[in-house]
Amino acid sequence: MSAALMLTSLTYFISPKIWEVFFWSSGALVYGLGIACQLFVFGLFLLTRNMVLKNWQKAVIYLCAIVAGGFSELNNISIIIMAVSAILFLRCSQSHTRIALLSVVLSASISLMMPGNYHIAQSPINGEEIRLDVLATLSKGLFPALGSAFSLLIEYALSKYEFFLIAMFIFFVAGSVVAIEPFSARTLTLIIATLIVASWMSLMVNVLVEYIPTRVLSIPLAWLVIAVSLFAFQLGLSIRSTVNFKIQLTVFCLVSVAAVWMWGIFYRENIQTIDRISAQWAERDQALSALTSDQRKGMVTTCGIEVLGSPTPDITSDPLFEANIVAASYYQLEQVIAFEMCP
Amino acid sequence: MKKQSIIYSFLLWTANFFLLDAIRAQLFQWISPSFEALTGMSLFGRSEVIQLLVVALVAVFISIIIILIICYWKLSKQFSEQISYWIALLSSVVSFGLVARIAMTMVIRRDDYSEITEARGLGVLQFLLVYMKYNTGRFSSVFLKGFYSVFEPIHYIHFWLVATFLLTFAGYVLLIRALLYKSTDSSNIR
Repeated sequence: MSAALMLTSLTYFISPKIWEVFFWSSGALVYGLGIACQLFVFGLFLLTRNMVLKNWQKAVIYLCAIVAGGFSELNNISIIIMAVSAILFLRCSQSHTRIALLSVVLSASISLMMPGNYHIAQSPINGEEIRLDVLATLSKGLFPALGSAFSLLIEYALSKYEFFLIAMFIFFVAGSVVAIEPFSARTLTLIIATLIVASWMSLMVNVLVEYIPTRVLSIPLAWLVIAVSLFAFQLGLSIRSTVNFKIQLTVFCLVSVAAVWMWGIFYRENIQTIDRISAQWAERDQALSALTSDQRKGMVTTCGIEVLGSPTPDITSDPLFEANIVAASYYQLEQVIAFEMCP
Repeated sequence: MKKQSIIYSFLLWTANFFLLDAIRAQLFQWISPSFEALTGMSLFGRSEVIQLLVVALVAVFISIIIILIICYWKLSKQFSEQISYWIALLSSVVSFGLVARIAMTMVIRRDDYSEITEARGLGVLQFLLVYMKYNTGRFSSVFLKGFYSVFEPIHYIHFWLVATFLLTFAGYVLLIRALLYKSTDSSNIR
């Protein structure tokens, strides 16, 4: 439980855009929940790989596999790589695990091949004349894209190096006080290689279409932090020291406390801003919802609210800005504009 | 209480006091915001006596933690195991509480507006079909967002943020159990 809490916390804090990936409904349903479902299904597959299950239990696992394949493209690519690796190397598993792994590959592949992806890739970005053409981009060269994806991954991993160091230190200490057999070198290499390749390849779609919002890096960084933690843990296990049971417990208590401490600092730093934004939004929502149908015609002037993690307010002074258009549509206004921030 | 214990505690406190005093500037950077929230004045602006008193209090606090850890080692194996379990559980619950508090206070913004509006207008299936055809391939995300058309999203939209945390945590618990405890089960204990 301590290790799971620490890994969960690291997954959150290593994200370059925590507010967009984990604390924004639109983003969390695409990226955050994608990471969560991916972790959950692989946990489920591995835990039940040697169990004999009832039919309904198998059905639930297959359903989870299909759902997990339907999130962001980065999840799709990384889940395919992880599942193919598992199919190739978990040969002694029960048939339901193999079917579930195949389901996840199929589901993620279908998600990638949906016409919506092709259509959006061919569309102009933010009304500009630049059109993304996946086929043309692919023909330009896959190898430069591989290099760019790798450089991008390294750049962002280095920008969050402190969390990798925390993961290495904590899981090395945890490994050094636990008394279980380490993985064989082959198994460890395989798992870590799969995680690194999944991190790297997951960026390919964004690199190829040359649209790389910072939030997408959360997914490869999550797999990298797991790889680093696992490696440090196995390194710790290889020390083979005879450690008092109480020391083991103390280390795990400290890991739990460290995780809750990180959340405490994060909470204290942000809660006042979050509460203020919430109060401002509620007041503005009430005012805009109360407008009569006549007042909704023409240009409605309101106030902007800070968006956490973004320098731009949620409604700007440009009525044709995308955020203004969607807010106007939500409140059934012709146009909405904001010149100043809400008090 | 034994005489040695009192002397030991005093020595521990003294060592902590001098150590913390040596890193006073760094220590105050960490605790000054809390102190300011409580008293309305920065710790750096207070007199030398007050500053030393705060250092002494922090030293007491750290000494108590060290003594508690030592006492914990003296407890029976079963009892200390129970305490560890409760500390891990409490940490998880507190972390979850903090995440949930943040998540439940987040407001809708940007794409939330358009997704809610379109889901309301189209209904779950039509929303899914239109998005799959023109916007994206993320069918699970779009299907879940489609429910905005059936149930008023403002009441439960924050739940996704809480569910993400819970599912991530559950995923890691399952993975750790699957990867580590399996080796223990197959009598690989050192």
